[in-house]
Amino acid sequence: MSSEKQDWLSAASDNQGISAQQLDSLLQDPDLQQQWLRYQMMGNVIRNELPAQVDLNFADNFALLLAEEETHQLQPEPVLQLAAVSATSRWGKVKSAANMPWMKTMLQGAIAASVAIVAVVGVQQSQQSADDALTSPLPVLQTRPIGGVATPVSLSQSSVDSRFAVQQQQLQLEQQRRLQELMQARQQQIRLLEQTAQQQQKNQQNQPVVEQPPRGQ
Amino acid sequence: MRVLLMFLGWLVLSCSAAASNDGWLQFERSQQAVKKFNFDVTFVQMRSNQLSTFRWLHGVHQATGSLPVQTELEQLIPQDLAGTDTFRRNDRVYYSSPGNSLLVTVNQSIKELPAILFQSQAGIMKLYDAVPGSSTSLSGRTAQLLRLTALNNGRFSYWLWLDGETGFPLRVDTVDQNNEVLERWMVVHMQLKPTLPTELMNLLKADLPAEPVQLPVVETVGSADFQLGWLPEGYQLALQQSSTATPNNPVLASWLLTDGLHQISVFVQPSAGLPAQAFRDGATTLLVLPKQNIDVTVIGPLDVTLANRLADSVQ
Repeated sequence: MSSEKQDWLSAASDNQGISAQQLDSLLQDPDLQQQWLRYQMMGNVIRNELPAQVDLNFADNFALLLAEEETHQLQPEPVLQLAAVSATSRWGKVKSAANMPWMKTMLQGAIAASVAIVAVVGVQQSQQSADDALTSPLPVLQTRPIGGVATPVSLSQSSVDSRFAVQQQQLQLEQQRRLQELMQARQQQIRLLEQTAQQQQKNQQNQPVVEQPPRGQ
Repeated sequence: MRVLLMFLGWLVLSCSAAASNDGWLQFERSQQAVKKFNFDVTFVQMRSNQLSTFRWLHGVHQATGSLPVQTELEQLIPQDLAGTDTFRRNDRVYYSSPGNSLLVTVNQSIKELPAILFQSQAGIMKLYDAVPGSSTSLSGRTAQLLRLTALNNGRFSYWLWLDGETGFPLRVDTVDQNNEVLERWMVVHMQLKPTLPTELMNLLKADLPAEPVQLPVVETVGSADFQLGWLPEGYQLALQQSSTATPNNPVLASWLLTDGLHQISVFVQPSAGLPAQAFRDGATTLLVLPKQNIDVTVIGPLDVTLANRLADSVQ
């Protein structure tokens, strides 16, 4: 067993290949590690690579030095100090309050609200940009009629098509005039609406008065 | 610290709760402003492809005699072309246009101004929902947006921008269901005055006829040959005439419908031989629907589909 071990260990110390299993056993077995150290030493002696003085306890000494070294810890110092100082001030309370769950939910609410505001403002702006929609898909009534009809300047004036077009145009113009008149009639109706309503009320009040005396008699 | 936070929390909660009520309060404030303030205002009216400018003066005069009589005076002067000069002294409205005799009517407000600013709030609350919006800057003033959203889909909505300081209306947009602006009324110059504007002093003393125009006897009996079979939601019949005439064309029958704020007119005329047509003048739809040997014309602030349905219901 031991000779087998020594064989692969010796081979490994001469830069031969080593299997994963063998490496595992080397890492776990202190005896093997001692053996490995000795093989390395022997190799160094054979290759004349040894220094004048060999410190066999180098690893131990180094471990000792490491242990003696001051421990440096990564401390969140500035934050801790600020918190300690400001705990007495008002803002400190606010800051510490900011870490409390209720404050967190409130802040989350505030952020959500501001997002909502941005959304609303955005929507409004996009709606306002629709202002040019003042031009509607429906044809617009010419409430201020343009004088005269445009007559085609061409020799083919007497053609059936253009005559029909002129006729159509005149009909349209007539229609516009008729609508103008109706718009004016409507305006008059609206102006007199309140008065009409009052008069109707009066009539309704008067009618029973007129009718009642005969009944009384 | 806790107390302050609790106060802030209460403030946030109470603000959101008051928001719904706040809209109508703002609206009330703007309605009061146009009735109570002394002012000299210029506004423009944008309708489809035309723009008109008016100067609008208003004041309340308090008599110094033994009787504390208040006189409300108002004047509307067209600025860009010679139109009808309109003025009001209390409940008498006078229309004066060149070439025509003075028309005297009984009215609590000038009908050419946006009706939404003058009609009773109770009536408007039946038709609209008030939702306050964000505040913006208009004509160098802070303006608060107030949306009056129609409860019924067939009605157009109003977006009002009210002066943050005084509540005075700075802009009124009439928008359709897709929030497209159909008509805009906008104040471009505003001067609030501590006393009655001097221009109105003449109107205060002017000798004006108090007797309104005599109305023709209105036939309320449905003896007409034509009948209206359907009314849009919220509208009532206000006026019915069997046969009148415009200067050049006969009118066989006409109806005026109102919801307290808007008016829809329906006219029946002999056929002109044209196909069905729809026009738009700002927020006003004009629809001509030929039926056998008559043309039905519907004019009013309503959707084309509704106008068509109304015209179709004439029998």
